[in-house]
Amino acid sequence: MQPQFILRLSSPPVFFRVTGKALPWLIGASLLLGAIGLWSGLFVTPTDAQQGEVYRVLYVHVPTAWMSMLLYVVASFYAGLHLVFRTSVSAVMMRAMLPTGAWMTVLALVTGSLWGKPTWGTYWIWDARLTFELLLLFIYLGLIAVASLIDDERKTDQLLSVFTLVGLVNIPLIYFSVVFWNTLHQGASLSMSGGSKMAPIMKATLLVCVLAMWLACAALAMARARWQLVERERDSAWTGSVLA
Amino acid sequence: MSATMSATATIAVCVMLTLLVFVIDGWSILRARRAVLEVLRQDPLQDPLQDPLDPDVR
Repeated sequence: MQPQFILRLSSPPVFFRVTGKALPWLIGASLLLGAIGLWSGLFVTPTDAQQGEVYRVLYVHVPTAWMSMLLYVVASFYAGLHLVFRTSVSAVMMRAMLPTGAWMTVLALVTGSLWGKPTWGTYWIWDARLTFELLLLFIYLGLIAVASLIDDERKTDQLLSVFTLVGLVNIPLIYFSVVFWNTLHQGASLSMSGGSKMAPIMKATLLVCVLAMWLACAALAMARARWQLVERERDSAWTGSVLA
Repeated sequence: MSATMSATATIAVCVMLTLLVFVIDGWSILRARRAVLEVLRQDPLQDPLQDPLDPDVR
């Protein structure tokens, strides 16, 4: 991708137009991949030898847990961009990640506890990973509160960027908690070093579900960012074309 | 309830919850979009200095 194209994306009208064209594709691809992932996860993949059928919760739980962290990392990326370049697009993208990220964290916690009851014998335990994930939810809620409580958007953007970057420290704590501490939560389902012991069909299905979830979250965040941008730029001439 | 039935119910709840979250999140975006469009329709003049009805602009 050309660097100039990325720079042009920071222009609000260009961002609005490009994301408007990308959204139907993102939504279509996420629906297609989500349907394939669900079908494969529920009907194609074999039953797990140790956990039985309930392991299939993993096809929802793992993607939501990854998205809860990834969306925060992306929000932090935009927070950093905003502190350097102060563009409206970076501010709205940072803000747009937060509600979807919070929802993904709620889903990760709820689906995890529903899986935990038959597998661990309890819905909740103050395990390192679970506790840091819960902390992530509180961070998301705190940032959403800051974003909505203060009227001056430009000032809030600065504050929100700094707070978002501070909260980033929690992400490696979640991800590496199973390495740093002795936890009830099992290790990584998939690893970059290829150390996963999952059957290839399970691994492929999980990757499809993760991709579907990522595309769906990207579409939601992008759609939210577009309308936040129009609201913020409503005095600019380009927003007139929105009604056309 | 057998373990398989219980597992099926758990999986169904997880899938439904996920879909519900996407519906709620998507609906909140559509609501925000409608509100923004409403504001734009009610106030089509983009530049307040060109608004002849604005008493502050003489």
